[in-house]
Parts: sequence; C-alpha cells; structure tokens
Amino acid sequence: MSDLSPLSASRDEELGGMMRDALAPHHDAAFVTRVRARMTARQPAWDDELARWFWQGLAAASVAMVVAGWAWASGATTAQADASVAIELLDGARPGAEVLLASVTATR
Amino acid sequence: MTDVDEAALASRAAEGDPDAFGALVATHAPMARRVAFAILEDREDADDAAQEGFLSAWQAIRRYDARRAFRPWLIQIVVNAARDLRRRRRVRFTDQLDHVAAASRDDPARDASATDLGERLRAALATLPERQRMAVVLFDAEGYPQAEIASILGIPEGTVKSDVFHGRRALRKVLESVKEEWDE
Repeated sequence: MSDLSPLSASRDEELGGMMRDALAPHHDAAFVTRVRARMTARQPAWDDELARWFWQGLAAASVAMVVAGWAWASGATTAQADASVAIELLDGARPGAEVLLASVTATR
Repeated sequence: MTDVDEAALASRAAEGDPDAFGALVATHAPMARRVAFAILEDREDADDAAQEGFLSAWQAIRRYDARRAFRPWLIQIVVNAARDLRRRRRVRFTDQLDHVAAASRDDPARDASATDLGERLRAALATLPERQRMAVVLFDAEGYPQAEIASILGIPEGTVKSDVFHGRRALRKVLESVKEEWDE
C-alpha cells in the first residue's frame, strides 16, 4: 500500500484492487442484456439534433436578410438582387451559405 | 479496449448506432455498477441506477461531444442517476436506513457477520460519509484523476485530496485489523 499522505496524488493500487473486488457486481452479461433490451424503448432525443441545426439556420437567415437589405438599399433590380444572392451563395465565404444554397436549390 | 476503439464506438453511438452503444455498455457496466453500489450500498438499487444512467446516456447521446473521453461523461450521468434514486429512496425509507446506518457505524471491524475481507471492506466503506467514499472509490478503485473527480462530485480538488486521505486512513484501519486476525 502507498504511504498515507494528504498530498499524495498517486493511486493506492492494492487498496484500489481490494475495493474493486469488494464492490464487484455479479452477472454482468445479464445486466448488459437487460440494458440493451430497454434501449429500444428509449431512443435518442431528436430535439438535440434540431438544436444542433438551429444556429446554422439562424446564420443562413441572417445572410439572406443582409443581402436582401443591401439589394433594396442600393435600388437593385430583382434580377440584379438574384445575381448578388447567387454570388454570395456560390462564394461560400459567409457562415451558413451552404445551408442557404441547399434550401434555395431544393425549392427550384 | 483501447482509447481509439472507444472513441470510434462513442462516435458511432453519437450518430445513433445502438450496437456501438451496446458495446460501450458491455465495457463500462462493471465500473458503472461498482460506482452506483458505492453510493447506494444495495445491489438491486445500484443496478437500477446504473441501468437508468446508461439509458439516460443513450437518450442524450447526440449531445455527447465525441472529441472528449466517453468514460467521465458516462460516469457523471450514472452518479446523478444513483443520487436521484437515493434521494427518492430516502424519502420512502428514512427510518429503516437510519437504523441500518447506526448499526453499521458502531464498529464495522467487529461486525460478527462480516467474515471475509470483502464484507469487511464494504462495511467500512458504508461508514464513510458519501463524499469521502466516492472520492476514494473513484480515485483508488476506478483510477479517475483528482481533477476529474472534483468535477464529477462538484467539489474543489483540494477537498477530493483531503477526502481520499481520510477515506484511505479509515479503510486501512479495517484492513490492518483483518490482517491481525489472520496472523493470530
């Protein structure tokens, strides 16, 4: 056993081994089978997946608003605005551009 | 299982692969059940808590960051599940638990029913305050770094060091008394 010291940062392997033996559970295979059988009733939550997409969607919407605002302020025609949006999307430098591009192509 | 294998499994599990998560359950079940038992001191309750921990982890697997180690993320969930269960159990069985705890605190080393080392060690662990017990089990038995234990238990690292020290001292006293008996 290691020396007793309040400053010791090393593990006491002998004591640790004895504790693992003392706390050791039985029938691991049965436990694992039980958990796996219940996993089908508790599927991963999809709201986490939606939350992950939220920020990308928000970024895409921001880009679209900035481009539309710029086009409106500069008095551009609809055709010019479309071309500007296309350039922004194809450039891909703005965050979320690929998401917006995917949604634009999907609607056409 | 190597860290690389585990990271790959955790990554697949995070994509919703139940077989990958099942493999992680098989790997970590003994550790999760030991830690839950250290909190609850009852095999059935410990298994219920460990199971609830695994199922909660599975439900939240999309929130798991696959770049980080899986084991500490999992054990935090198992510890929370065990503490939740103990809280609920305490509400229902306060009287019985107090009675049992008082009996085991009298002198675990002289407990006539504690005939083997494992029983003596479990009895000694049961006399430690929960935080001390968890610190010494997570550090010496399960090999978690002290900083990680501090994060899991929500206490400063200095407190973990102190708890490990006091926990070891109490357990060693019991082990020495067992050795003396064996030498006689």
